[in-house]
Amino acid sequence: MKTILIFIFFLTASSLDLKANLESAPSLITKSFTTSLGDEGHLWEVSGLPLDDSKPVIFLIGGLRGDEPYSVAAIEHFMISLDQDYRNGDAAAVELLSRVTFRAIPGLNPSGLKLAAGISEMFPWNGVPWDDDDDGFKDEDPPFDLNGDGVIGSVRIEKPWGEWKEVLPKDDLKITKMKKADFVKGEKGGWILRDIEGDDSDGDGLYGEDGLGGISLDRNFPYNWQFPYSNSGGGPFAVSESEVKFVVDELLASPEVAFIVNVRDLGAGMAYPMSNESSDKTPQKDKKIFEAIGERFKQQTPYESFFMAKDGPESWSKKGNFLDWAYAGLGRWSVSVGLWGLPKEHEETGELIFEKAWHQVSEKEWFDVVGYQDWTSYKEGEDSSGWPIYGKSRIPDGETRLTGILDSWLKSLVGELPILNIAIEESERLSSETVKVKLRVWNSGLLSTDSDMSSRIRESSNVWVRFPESDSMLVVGLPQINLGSLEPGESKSWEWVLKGRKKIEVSPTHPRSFVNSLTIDPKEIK
Amino acid sequence: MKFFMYFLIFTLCAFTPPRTIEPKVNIDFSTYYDYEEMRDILIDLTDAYPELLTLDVMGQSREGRDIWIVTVNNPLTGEHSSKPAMYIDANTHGNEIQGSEISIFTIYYLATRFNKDEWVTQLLNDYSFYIAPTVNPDSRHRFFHEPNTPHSPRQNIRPFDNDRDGYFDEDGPEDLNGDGEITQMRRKSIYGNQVSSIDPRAMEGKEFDAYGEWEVFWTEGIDNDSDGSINEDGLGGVDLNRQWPWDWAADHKQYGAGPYMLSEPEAHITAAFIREHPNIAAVQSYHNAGNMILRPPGTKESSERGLSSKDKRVMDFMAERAENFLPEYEYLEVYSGLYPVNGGFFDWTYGELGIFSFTNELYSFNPDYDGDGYSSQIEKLKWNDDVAHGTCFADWEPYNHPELGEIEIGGWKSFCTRTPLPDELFDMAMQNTLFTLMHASFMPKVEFGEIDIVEIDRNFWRVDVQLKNVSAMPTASSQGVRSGYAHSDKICLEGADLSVAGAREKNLRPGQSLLFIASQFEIRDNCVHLGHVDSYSQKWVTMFVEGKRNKKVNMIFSAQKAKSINSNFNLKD
Repeated sequence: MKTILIFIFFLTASSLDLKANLESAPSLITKSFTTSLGDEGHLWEVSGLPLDDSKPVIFLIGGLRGDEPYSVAAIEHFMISLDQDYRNGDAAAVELLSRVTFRAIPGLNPSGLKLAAGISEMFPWNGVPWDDDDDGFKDEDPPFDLNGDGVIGSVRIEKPWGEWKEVLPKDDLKITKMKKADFVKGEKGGWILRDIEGDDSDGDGLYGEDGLGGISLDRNFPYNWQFPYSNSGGGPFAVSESEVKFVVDELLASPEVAFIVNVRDLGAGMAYPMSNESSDKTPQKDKKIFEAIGERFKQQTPYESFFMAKDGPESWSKKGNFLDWAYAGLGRWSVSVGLWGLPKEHEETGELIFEKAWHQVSEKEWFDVVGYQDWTSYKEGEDSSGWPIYGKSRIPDGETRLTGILDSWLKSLVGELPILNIAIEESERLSSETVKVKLRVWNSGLLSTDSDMSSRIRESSNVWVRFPESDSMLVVGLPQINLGSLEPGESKSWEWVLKGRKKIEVSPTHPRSFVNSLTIDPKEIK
Repeated sequence: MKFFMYFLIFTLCAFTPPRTIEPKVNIDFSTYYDYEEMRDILIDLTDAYPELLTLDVMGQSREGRDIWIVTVNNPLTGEHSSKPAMYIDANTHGNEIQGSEISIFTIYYLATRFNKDEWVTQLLNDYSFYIAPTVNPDSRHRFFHEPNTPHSPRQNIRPFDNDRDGYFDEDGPEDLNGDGEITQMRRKSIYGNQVSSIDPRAMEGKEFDAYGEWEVFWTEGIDNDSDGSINEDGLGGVDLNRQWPWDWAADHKQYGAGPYMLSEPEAHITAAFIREHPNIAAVQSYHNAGNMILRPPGTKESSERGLSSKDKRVMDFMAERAENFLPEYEYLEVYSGLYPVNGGFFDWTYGELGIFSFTNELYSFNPDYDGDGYSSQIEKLKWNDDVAHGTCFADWEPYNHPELGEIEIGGWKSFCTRTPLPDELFDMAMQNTLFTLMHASFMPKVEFGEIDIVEIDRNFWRVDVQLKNVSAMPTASSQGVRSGYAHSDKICLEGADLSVAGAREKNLRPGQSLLFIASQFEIRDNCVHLGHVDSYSQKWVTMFVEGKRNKKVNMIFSAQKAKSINSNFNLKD
């Protein structure tokens, strides 16, 4: 935590009026959970008629980090406005919710959100006290704003043996940077540099190495989880945190969840799994489908970036993260969407235009947005500040234009889920009472019924067609047809020989697909 | 009598064995106990020995049964949490039952011999024990009260969709012939095996150039879900020995792992208990079968990384002494000696927590009458007839199966092949208890040795303290230090107007000056964080102390896995 627990965040969660959202939508809350620190979080659901538990579900989750209030607001806004549209009889909303259910945990980390609103640091944690430096004490040496400029920055100390030197401004940024002196070239140093502004509260010679909290929920999921000594903030074991346990158990018990969207504050674009080099590789078949989803995302939103999560913000690439687990542990189609990079405003409409992802931003652009806190002295020979290293993550206070930015894309996702159709391909009358039918099932959606990854990890659900149990008409053929997984456009067929004249209705079953049924009337078969 | 001889060797080393035990509770250790009977025994024991035994509940199983933990400690020599402790558990796998009876015997052995057997008394003065006789009570209950094979139910009772058809546990075995057992089925088939010419109950592999006679189905049952497969989706569950947060691997890589580490209440509450007791310095787990003493690691990754040479030496040292108690048991590393296990219990207790841990695989069913080193079906059936009086093997009987037609049902019964006959249980309990208590007796034990005090300036003192670990386990294993779980031992000085200004190790290696500073210890609040004290070794700590002459000092040594000790002295030459 010590190397990450840094820097600016001027935003306060209250500016987004999350509390008002919560109060306005109690009817959407279907379950509650208690965080490790005792705060309450919620599971929301928006559904419509017909009331049908077998409808596929699109699952949204935000606020994994304490400093992600915009992701919470974006999800809450989407859920509330969709619900209102539905209640107002909006035809599009009624049609949408007749086919699919939206379920969401807008903020998985309410404790972290509360704590982050009161400090100026980045705050990925959930606030559970943690002994980062293994000294038997918890949270005893936090970063500290030594020079009182409102920023937790770096510290430089003037010493004759220091390896760092000043680089005086040569460009229009007019900032004083520090670089390591090249003594072979005859350069001189003179400064010692410390990463984190702090006062070594515990007297162990390290500065700001054991601050408030924690455990990062986005490093506590059970895929590629690592102990904290190799992955700071991972927690004592995967799913140790009650917030994580809630969402993991909820999703494990929900085979109907077809698509998962993890909304993040940072990132400005869409990322697909996987998130780091040690993860399994994303199968080519799945990559192709993710690319198609990414293209539609770019069409439906102001964002231009689509990338593999490992190429995104560093904070997305930690082991034990949600996205990798949702895809490669749970086996569901999953993406992350980041709300913020460095947008431009449309000159006339004021709309945000996201041309670049965070990692494509130049120092100049960064400087224009986040500024630079010049070195100021807090005692003789010791200065603090410099670059706010995570300044790129700053979202201006009260940037309400982000809250509805994903809405149309989220609605369009419904059209991408797998659709299973069934038809009689061939039929033949064998006798007055006996017919042979060749049936075919095909997937006309954008997504395969389960990802290739899901099959590899044995978490896929097969597509089945079951002959009506009570019917004794089946003369030849298996009563249960296992069609496995169906890719987009893929079809599979089989034959049954039926005896009798009764109509039967058959349909494929798959917990995460739209299914169409077929009535077979033996009398109609010539 | 063999076990008794070992017992004598062990106890006579230093002490005289008690002439009589006179237990306050009579327990028959030649029978197996179901969950409810075990509860009654534990209540009787703790009621009879309240000064030593405390019965608590760690938590509840998936079906709501209590998971008990018995604390064994002599409180007159310190709270249980202030002493190094051994954690013992059993019955992780529901069908591996006899470890529970052995655990209860260990409680009984300690309680009945305290203050009668000097060695046991000393053990309970120095150390405490946490003993969980069954950590999978739901499956134990089913093993006793439902038809089973010797191998079921192994896992816990979490519904699981083995065949990925959307239904859970819908096609398990059935006791078709109503004999109370799940045995095997065989039907006539030229593709199957042949019947032995020596004993028609035994099946043998088919000769290459001959037709077979019987096709054998592993378990008795029907195709409940009409998918063409028999018994492919039975009860549960998650393997509670594949659940732990060390080299855990998902179910597609490690069968039985469960959806995530510690997902099951049985594992989760056990982990929480062990974490809440950092004084646990030794772990012993009982499984069956195979007559093995196993040590970590269970995975290729950890095996290739290897144990530290220091830790391995400690484990080998203890395992070598197993010869005295369990001469037929083989000492093995799980990965290289048995098979790979991801997420194994003692991989976690050792790997993350740095606790010296063993698993005993109890019992071996390998009668070898002809001494050829191999136990054939014929020899096993002979054992059934002669030793078990025919009670272990159900003879093949005809049965009309709804899907397979005319078949025969028969085979080995659930209480045989992995568990000893009840009469053999006592010997097994005694031998394994003695091994386990030997393991416990090597937990760290630190004593103060010499203390030298020299005034090196006015009111400024050098205090040299000798710490001696008189036991085989160091105060922290190398793995515990590596994983960051082990905290440093410390010496704290208490006294008015006293200040520890510095401290270092007094290095006495040949040729080194007393002034040589080997290390500078961290000091906080007059406590010197001195690292750890190795196996059977001493550590000299030099402290520089400010304080007035004749000031009284209370010196306390404390460690995560060693009993705290203290010594009083005055600041004077």
